[in-house]
Parts: sequence; structure tokens; C-alpha cells
Amino acid sequence: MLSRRELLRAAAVTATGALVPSSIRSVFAAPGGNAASAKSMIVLWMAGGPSTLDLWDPKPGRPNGGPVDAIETSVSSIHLSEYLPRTAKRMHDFSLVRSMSTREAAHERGTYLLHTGYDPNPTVRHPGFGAIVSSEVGDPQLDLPSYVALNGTAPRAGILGVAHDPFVVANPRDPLQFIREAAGVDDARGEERAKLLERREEEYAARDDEAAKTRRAVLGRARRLMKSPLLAAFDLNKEDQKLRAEYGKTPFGDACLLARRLTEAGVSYCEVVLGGWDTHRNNFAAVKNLARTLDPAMAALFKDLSDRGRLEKTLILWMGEFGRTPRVNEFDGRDHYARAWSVAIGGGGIKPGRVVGATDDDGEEVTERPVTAQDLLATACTVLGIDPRKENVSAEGRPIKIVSDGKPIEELLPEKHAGS
Amino acid sequence: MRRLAGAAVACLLFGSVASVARADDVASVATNVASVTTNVSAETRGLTRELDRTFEELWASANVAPAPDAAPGELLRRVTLDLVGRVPTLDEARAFLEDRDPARFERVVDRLLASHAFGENVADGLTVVLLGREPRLDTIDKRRFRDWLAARLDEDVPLDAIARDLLTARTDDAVAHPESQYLLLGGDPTSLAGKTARIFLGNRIACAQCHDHPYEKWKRTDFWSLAAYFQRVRREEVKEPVSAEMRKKKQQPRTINWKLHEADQGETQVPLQNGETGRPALALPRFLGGRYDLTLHGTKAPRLPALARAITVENRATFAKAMANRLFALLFGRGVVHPVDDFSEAHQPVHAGLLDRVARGLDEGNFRVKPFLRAVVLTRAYARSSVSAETPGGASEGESDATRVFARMRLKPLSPEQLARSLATATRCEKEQPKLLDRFVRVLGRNDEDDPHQVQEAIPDALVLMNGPEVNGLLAAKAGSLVALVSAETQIEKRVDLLHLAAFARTATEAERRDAVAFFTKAKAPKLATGDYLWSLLQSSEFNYNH
Repeated sequence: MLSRRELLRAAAVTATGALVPSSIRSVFAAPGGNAASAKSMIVLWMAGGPSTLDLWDPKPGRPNGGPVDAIETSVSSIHLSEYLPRTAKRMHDFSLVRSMSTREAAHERGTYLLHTGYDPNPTVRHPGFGAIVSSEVGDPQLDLPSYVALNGTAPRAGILGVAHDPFVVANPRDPLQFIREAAGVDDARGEERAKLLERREEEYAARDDEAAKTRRAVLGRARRLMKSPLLAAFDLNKEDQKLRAEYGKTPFGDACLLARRLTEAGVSYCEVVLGGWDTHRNNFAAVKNLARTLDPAMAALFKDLSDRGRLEKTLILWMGEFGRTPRVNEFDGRDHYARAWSVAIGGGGIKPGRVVGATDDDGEEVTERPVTAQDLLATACTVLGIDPRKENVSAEGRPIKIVSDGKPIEELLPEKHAGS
Repeated sequence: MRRLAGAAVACLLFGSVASVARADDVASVATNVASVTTNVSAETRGLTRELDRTFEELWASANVAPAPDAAPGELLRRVTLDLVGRVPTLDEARAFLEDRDPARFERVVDRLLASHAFGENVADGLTVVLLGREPRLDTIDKRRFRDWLAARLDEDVPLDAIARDLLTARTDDAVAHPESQYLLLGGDPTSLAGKTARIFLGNRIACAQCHDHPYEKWKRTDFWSLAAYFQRVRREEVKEPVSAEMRKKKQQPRTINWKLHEADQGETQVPLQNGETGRPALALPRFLGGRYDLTLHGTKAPRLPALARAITVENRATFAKAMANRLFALLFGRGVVHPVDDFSEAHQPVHAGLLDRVARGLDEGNFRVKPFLRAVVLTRAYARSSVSAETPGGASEGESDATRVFARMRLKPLSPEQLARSLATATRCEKEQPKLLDRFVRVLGRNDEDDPHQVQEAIPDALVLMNGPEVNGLLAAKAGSLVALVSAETQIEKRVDLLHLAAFARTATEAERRDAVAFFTKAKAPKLATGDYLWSLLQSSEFNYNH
């Protein structure tokens, strides 16, 4: 009997609502055909709502700009905040969207919106984008999980089922925390234990119950993960330590490096979390400090992927749940602001060195080309070869499109997708 | 036991049993103590008999033969998990299997219902349903809510009274009054409305928030009229007093408490739909298809007491169905209506008569949980095996039919709390229970408000169970632990039986004994062998499911 998850994978629902087998799904796939440029995605998630004016869209000399100066980048027409000197040197690897305009300025709601494209709704649990990528792009035969969260947690799979929930690596320096055998249990004993268990489970399989079968499958996959040669991807010590130092050797830097290694090993989606951005007080000192962690890691990640020839295959998206108020408050801080803010996007075939949209001189309103969370996710879908209008079905039989309304940002799409 | 015997004999002489106790009957009657101590038992007996008749009708109409009796140890383990949320102890298992008294199961049931672990176990599940698992507000500790609810359940406070307490809570001190957490954490009026309808009435009207329900009869105005009851809920943060020290350091005062009240004014509007023009209408209280309550319109009259009455009194029958269905699902792994909170056209009860009977049983028992559960666990249906009647390995025709109509007991996954408690109990390391609870609730505790019987296991859970330090710590031969006890036993067959009794409430099969002997004699690290063998028992499906 097929599990709900298997049914979802096997079927695809077209605009007319008819169920279509996956073998011909590609006919209805992403505009421009199913030639995806990106095979994996790394999201750099800035938890708390980052002050993007002080990073990507500086306003030097204006009251709202605060003390932040603008610096040149490797792309002559683009200036970034002085807090991102190294990333500025890699501006030719990625692009900016300065006209994000979303409507959720509360942490939980904003996080939900940016990860799902939907407002939180008590009647349905929309899958986080990582779960979508795991479900659409992930290889079920891969020993490693397809959706990994590093340095923090990431949104769950909701209606797609727990198999697509994020695998959380809380500490990038000890990622194999539960993947290794327990302390004191060597390989020989581990094998003995596993054999005892296998024999016991074989007997139990005679009960012929769906639930017991699922458990055996999960145990099997867990064991395969434990014994997988791909686990080497988790070992930062296997990396050139000079390169590791370039990432900054902070937990965030290590996690970015780990994300690069994991995507190389076949993981489809990694989300690396950096928290502390909720700067209602002492904004500039806090952002400057956070940028000391962010800047080297992000620059190193782009350079590393580019040097390895992997940038084309790896989509990178830098974002938070919203931006921050252009007007500085009485505590020298900035509060939540969703009307105008920025994200950075590159790799995966995304045209680099571009700026999409703009804000006014004071950073308060978007003056051209507003972009929604849905547009952003539709863009990601397109380069990953995912049909944004594909519907997943909830347990109650409710069809939920991956992205219901948004349109991909044409200006950033690689040539083969544009104009469709 | 003796204490009860004394009381029982007294009841016999002065109570409701009509026949005179003859001398040679006293002994046998005294051993049936638990079953005649109170009137409760008599009333539940009636319900048990009627339920069994209804089950038989259901099985006959579905043309399904009931599975054989569950093995005694299996039944003991099942009822212990269902009622007190853990596996039986080694001593409980041994005592039960050696007890020749035909009423031994009833006595176990009464022992479990009288234990404090009962309230905690049922409250664990209901707390997740009512409050979810995610942390929501500063200083609000859901464990206090669980403890409040557990105490109520231990005292057998009726469910309708509990529901009324939750819906009409108001306080200046939420920390001291945890029943306020349902309204405090329930979100805005639309969120509270959807949740309340779903949990207390099995009605997923929340789907009608944005548009008329696609296939049920509920319209948007129905939803918003329900939300209007919650419109005046007011929450107020109480912050710590600002000290001079804090002022100097420019520190923000922390939240230390909450106030919960219902204001005497405030309305909302039904939002316009796409294409609708004109002024939005006011959303005024009207209970699900009923008439508008004019005393609540444009007045200062409190609305929540009216809502509580509407649910627990005026719509008592629907409330009874929803609550009875949930309790039934606790025991059978699935409600008579499934999903447990969706009584709609699309989800017909497995058998209308069965749904009616359980609802009426709960209602006639005045919504008390203990007598209801007692009646159900004493049915023949509850005692069905979870193994198919067919030969092992063969999927029989109508296999899933048997489970669907409760002719065969469904396998139920353990909740994180039940798993943690069971691991501590089985390994006789009860002191480790808090650590285990903490780990498993954090890792497995994902199911926010969902039906606990839909718990699905994923790889991270399996890894924590297999390799985590908490579980492996249970396998060391610490004083008093199962491993220490078993290691002291010289005969391998006896060791194996002890291990199986502790984990599964049964002795080992011949095959298991043979395999164990082979394993123990060959073991390279004999001191660690018992721990390794126990590890395999704790990882098994047999341990991780309630069957």
C-alpha cells in the first residue's frame, strides 16, 4: 500500500486538476523546459530581520544612512556597505534585489512567509522551501538527508511529511553527534548490535503492519547514513585548513563551508542560520559586529564555489524575514520593516553583478520593480527545475501550489529560461 | 489489596449487591474486590456489555472475524501504556503473568486508574492538543498547565467542567492559574475559533475563514460569527518593576506574568471577499448554525461564558461525540471518526451505532473520563490481538478491514513522553526519566496540535534512539538497573526471560532463547553483552509500538 508520501511523489496535478504520472510531468515543468541550471541550493538565513540598508543598500550622507559609508565593489556600478569589504570583492558572483516588499513584519510570520511564500494559516502547514527542494530535487537513494539545517533549525515539511523535515546539525564542529555509534561502542560491537536487531525485526515483520514496515525503513536509512562513505563530507578536518580560515573559522563560517561540502556530496538544500539581527538597539555596532562573521564567510563561499567550478550548479540566497526601519530610533536602533528591504542571490545560473529594483534616497519606499517573497521563490524554482505551479495535496485533499502567484525575476534568469 | 478487601466486604453487606454473601463465596467475592467496590463498576459493566454488542454487530456487518485474544502480557503492556503512559515494570509483569485470578485484568485497570501517572499521561496528550508544543509566550510554562489538567483528571473532574474552565478563564495572575493558557496561547479570535471548534466539536470550520467551505455546509459568516465570541479576549503583559539599576544600564524590564480578561467592548468585521464591495458587515456572535444571541450584540455582556454553555450544554450531544471519539482513539489508535477532529460528510464514522454508543456512554457518565475508559478497556474488542489471525508472513484478505472495524488492535506509536517513561521503566533507571523526557520531547516532539496517533518517525529520531547518550546510559550496569540485575543471573535462559519481561511483559520464545544463548556464549565483551542485547530490545519495533 503506497504511503501518502509515495502518492505525492508519484502524482502531479496540472492546472486542470487532473492527476498526471510523474513520467510525463516534465512536459508541464518549469518554463523553458526542465534543463535546471542549479542542482542544489544554499540559503544563508539571517534570523531576526537583518538591517539590509546597512549591508546592501547604503545611503551615505543621508540621515537614515547613519554612520555607514559606501564602498566600491568588483562591479563598478554597485556600491555596498563598508561592513562587507570582502563580499564586495565578489560582487561579480551574485546580484542584489533591493526592492523586496513583503507584508509580514513579525518574526514568526515573516519567517513563514519567506520560506513558504504563504501567510501562516491554521488550516494547512505549507512546506518550507527546503522541504520542497528535498521533495522535488532530492535523490531518495542518497544516504545523506536532502535537507540540512546548520547552526539552527529551519522550517518543517508540513504536508510533505516528516521524511522531508530538515536534518539539523546544531554544531557544525560536531555534526556527527548522533550519527556515530555511542561513546564506547566500537565498530565490532556496533555490528553485533545491529545484527541482533535485524534478526529480531525480521521476526516482527510477520505482523504485516504498515507502521512496523515504516519503522524498519527508517531504521534502515539511519543505519545506511551511519555507515555511508559520504559522511566524510561532514568532516571539516578533511578540508584545507587555510581555506577554512578564509571562511572565518566561526560557527557560521564553518557551517557555510560544511554546506559547500554537503552540496558537493549530493545534498540538495542547506540552510545556514546566523542569528542576532533583531537590532532594536545599537543597530550599527551590532550589524558591524555581525558583518565581521558574515562577510568573510559569504565571500569565501562564493569564491570557493567559483574556484571549484560549482557556482553554476549551486544557487545561493541570502535573506532574512524582513528588513529594518530606515529611520533610526531613540536607542540608535532600527525596528521591523517589511516595506522595502534587500536580499542577495547568486549562483545556479543567476545573472551576476546586477541590481534588481531600487529604493528612494532615504530607503523608505521601493521606487521601482517591487519583488515579493513569492517572486523570489518562483525564481529559485525556475533555476532548480521545479515547476512553481505544481500542486501538492494535503491530507484533507486540499491542493497547495508550491508558489501560487509569484513570477520569477526575469532579469536574473539564465538565457535559456528567459522570455518563456 | 487487603485494604480494598475490607471495604469491599463492607460494601457487599451494606451495598448494592443483593445476594447474601455465603461463607464459601466470601473468598471468591473478596478477590473480585475492585469490580464491586463502587457503583461506578456496575455502571461501567453495563456500558462494556453494550459496547461489546455493538462491536459484534459491526464485525458481523463488515463480515470480519475478530482477531484472537491478545496474549496476557501484550494486554497488560497495552493497558499500562494507554492508561499511565509507560510499559509495565518487571515486577508488575511477573505478578500479572503469575496471577491465576480471572479478575486480574480488572484489578490492574483499577490500580492504573487510581495512580497519579494516569492523570499525567492523559494530560500529556491533551496538553499537546490544546496548547501545541511550540513555545509561545515568555514565562508561560506548559508543564504547569499539564499539571493542572492532570490533577483534574486524577480527581475525575468531568470534561465539560474542564472545557468551561478553559473557555471562561480570566485572571490577573496567569502563572498561578495555568488554565488561562488555552486562551492566552490560542492566538487571535480566528485562531481560537478554529481551534475550539476543531478540538471540542470535531468541526473544521476554520476552512471557511476565507471562503465558503468547498463541500461542507459552513459559510464564511458562520466562521466569523464564531470568531466573534473571542473578539474581546484581552491579554496584558505584566513586566517586572524597573529598578534604578536597570534604568542606568538602559535595560528592558522582562515579562514576569500575564493578565487575561474579556473586555466589555470591541467588534470585528467580516472581511470583504474578492469582488465584494461596500462596507464589511459586523461579525456578531452566533453559534454554528444557531440563532444570533441578541443579548451579546452591542452590549457589555461577556461572550465566553455563553460560548462555553453553547458547546457543553446546548450542543452537549456534539460535544459528547467529539470527546468520546478522542478518548476512544486513545485506546484504539483511531477514532470511530477519523481524523479525530473532523466530523464531516467526507469522514463518516466506521459505524454510526458505535459512535452513538460511546458518545452516550460518556454523556450518561456525566463526562467523567475514568469510568468511560474503564468501560472501554474491559470490552472484548479492546482485548483483541494486534497480530493477524492468519499465518505469519501472509497478508490476509481483509487484513486492513479487520483493523478498520476494531476487530484487530491497531499498532499505536508511542508519544515522546511514553517512549521516555518506558525506557526509564524498562531499564529500571527511573532516575534518568527527566533527561530522557527532555531529549525525546525536544527531538520527537514535533506534532503541534496534531493527532498524537499520527506520530511519524524520521531518521533523526532513530539516530537519537540508537546512538544518543541518554539511551546508552541506560545500558550500563549501574546499581539497581535492569542490566545489573540481569548480569547477576548466571543462567542465560533466565537472563533472557528477565530482559523480555522488562521490555515486552512476556517471556522469551524458544527461538529467542536459542539466539540469545548463541549470542551470550560468543560475546567478545561479556560484561557489555547484556547491555548490547538490551539495546536491541529497546530499538525493536516491538518496544517502540504499543500493540
